[in-house]
Amino acid sequence: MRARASLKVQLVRQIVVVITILLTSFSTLTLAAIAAHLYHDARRDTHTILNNLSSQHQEAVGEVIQAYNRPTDPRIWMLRHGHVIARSPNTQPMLRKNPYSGLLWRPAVYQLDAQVRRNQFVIDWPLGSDWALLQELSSVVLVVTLLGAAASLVVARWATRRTLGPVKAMTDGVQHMLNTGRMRPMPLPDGRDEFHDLAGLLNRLLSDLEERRQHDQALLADATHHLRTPLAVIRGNLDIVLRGDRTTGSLHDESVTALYRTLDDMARLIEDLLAMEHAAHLPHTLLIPMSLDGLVSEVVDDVRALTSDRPTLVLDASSPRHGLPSVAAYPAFARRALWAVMENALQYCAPDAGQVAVRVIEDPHSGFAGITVGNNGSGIAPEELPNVLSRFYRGETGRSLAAGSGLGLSLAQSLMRAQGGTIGIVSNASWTQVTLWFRSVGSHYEALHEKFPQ
Amino acid sequence: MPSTLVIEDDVRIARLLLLELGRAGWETEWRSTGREGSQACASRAFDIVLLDLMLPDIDGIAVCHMIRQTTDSPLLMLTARDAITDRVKGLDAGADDYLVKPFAVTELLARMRALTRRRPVSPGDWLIVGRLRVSETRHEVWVQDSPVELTGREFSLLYYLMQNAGVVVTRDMILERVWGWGYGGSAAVVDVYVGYLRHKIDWHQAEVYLTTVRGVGYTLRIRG
Repeated sequence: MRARASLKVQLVRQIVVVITILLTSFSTLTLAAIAAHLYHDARRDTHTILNNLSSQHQEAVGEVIQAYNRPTDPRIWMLRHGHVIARSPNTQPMLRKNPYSGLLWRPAVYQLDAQVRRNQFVIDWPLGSDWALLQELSSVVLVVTLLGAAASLVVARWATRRTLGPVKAMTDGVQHMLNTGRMRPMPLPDGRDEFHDLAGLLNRLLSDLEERRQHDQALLADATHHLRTPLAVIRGNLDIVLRGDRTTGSLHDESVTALYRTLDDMARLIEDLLAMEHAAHLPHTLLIPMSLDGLVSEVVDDVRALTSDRPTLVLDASSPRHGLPSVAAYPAFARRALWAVMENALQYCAPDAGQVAVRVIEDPHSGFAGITVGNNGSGIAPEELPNVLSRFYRGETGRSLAAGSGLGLSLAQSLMRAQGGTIGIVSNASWTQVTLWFRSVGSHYEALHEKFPQ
Repeated sequence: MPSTLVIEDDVRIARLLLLELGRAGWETEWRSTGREGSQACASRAFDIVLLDLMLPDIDGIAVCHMIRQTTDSPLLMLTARDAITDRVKGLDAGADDYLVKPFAVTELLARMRALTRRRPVSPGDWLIVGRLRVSETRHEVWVQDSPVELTGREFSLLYYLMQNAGVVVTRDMILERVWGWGYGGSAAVVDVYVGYLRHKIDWHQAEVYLTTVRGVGYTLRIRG
């Protein structure tokens, strides 16, 4: 298994390696260029001497050769038929010979071998000083490279510490959350860079998660409470059924009926809770265009069919004459939301002369179309209005009259939110009106485009 | 004796199912894991398979796919989950029907009978029961040579009853298929619409009975 290296170490290592490679390459290229330049100079100067020698008379050549007597001067041999006939005083008697013109080592010289008329000239241009210069330069370059690498190490450590500081802060923050089990916002790094954006996004995620956790806790608490009650009813009635010998037949039948009814209520409650949860996860991209008229007539027909035994109930449904735009909806959710509102209206309308009015309406300015369901009755007190959309809230008047799961309007709200819509409630002493607002198809696609610009 | 395979890991539910199905005249076999269940399906043919969606070893949807590779027997999924997506996933994986716990045994038996029924004749576009014929694409209903006017809901209800002619369909089955998810009223709406159908169709001329089975649901039977 490879040892784990922190991002900081990896970055420092990479920066130092890259800078060292760059410095070394640059130095090598510089030294090579200088060496090439020196070689070119030596070659040119050697040819100048040869040109000078070849332009001299035969007799003068010997004198000229004799003038090169210092060790730093070029060394010249003149040969004829392979025998040395003259040489400069700074030469050795033995001639080191290269088969071609070019470099010779130890000592380093540039050797030119040329035939001029009957004479052959061999000229060694000493490169000792050039070589020494190159060696000195190499030492300097090596020192500079090493210093550069060391400096890059310091700079890289400083830069990575500075760059990765926010990551460290975020890691510490997450570790703290894991240790304490509590979510808290991350510190936002200075400057509007990518880490600032990342920390901002993480904070949004954290607050969503925290909200969801609180929501789940509240849901669990509510659900537990509202499931325990029917369980108590089931247990009580089972006791009555089991004591069958001591109770009358009608009591037995009543208990069995109560058991079935309670089971149905529990199943309904669980179904509604699941529907609320499901609504929270519906992607907006699943919405399809739908006509509200069709939905209203479908549900109103069913409600009429079911309330034929309530002759005093007046159910009135109408749509505007002109065509309404299609709305973006998930038909099953829209149907369930409308049913929830209808059930609420039927439950709370005046018991002796109930009136329920269903209207399809449009708000062209906001890009929403809606269904309003109004009912007569005692209305909702202003101080209760903000709570009627809360889960399991029944209110003072509701508690005594209603038999539902208490999730109706809250479920409708979740389902409408899942479709990008809203729910609105207004109420006075004698009339309550709930409106389900759906986005029209055009405004839905505009909203999607804003959310996912492509 | 019709045979059924029950794939269910919960012993209490399995016991209830085996007792009730046995009493209703089904020959039953029980497997408690998905792997054993799909092996049993491969080794012999069952008239229907009851599959729990949450199994300890393999996900019910995967088991459903495995079973579908070896047999065409009708498959009814039993589940404690009831999200629309679960339903759709189950049906997409090859299940023929989907029943949510808790369920009444009468409901289960009705669905099992509906799944193992013989399909009514349907030449071309028409579905025919007795002298009653309907076309789903043309949205037409004829009793012998007379057309009948029905609303959309009435038509869907009649079509579903005709598809299941000869077996009892429960109110829940009707609500699920005809009204769809999201219907929030009581199951009594089915009785009202059956009443409308009774009123609108000349059943004597159609030579078909639309019968109420008390406590269970409705059935269409051909006279004679």
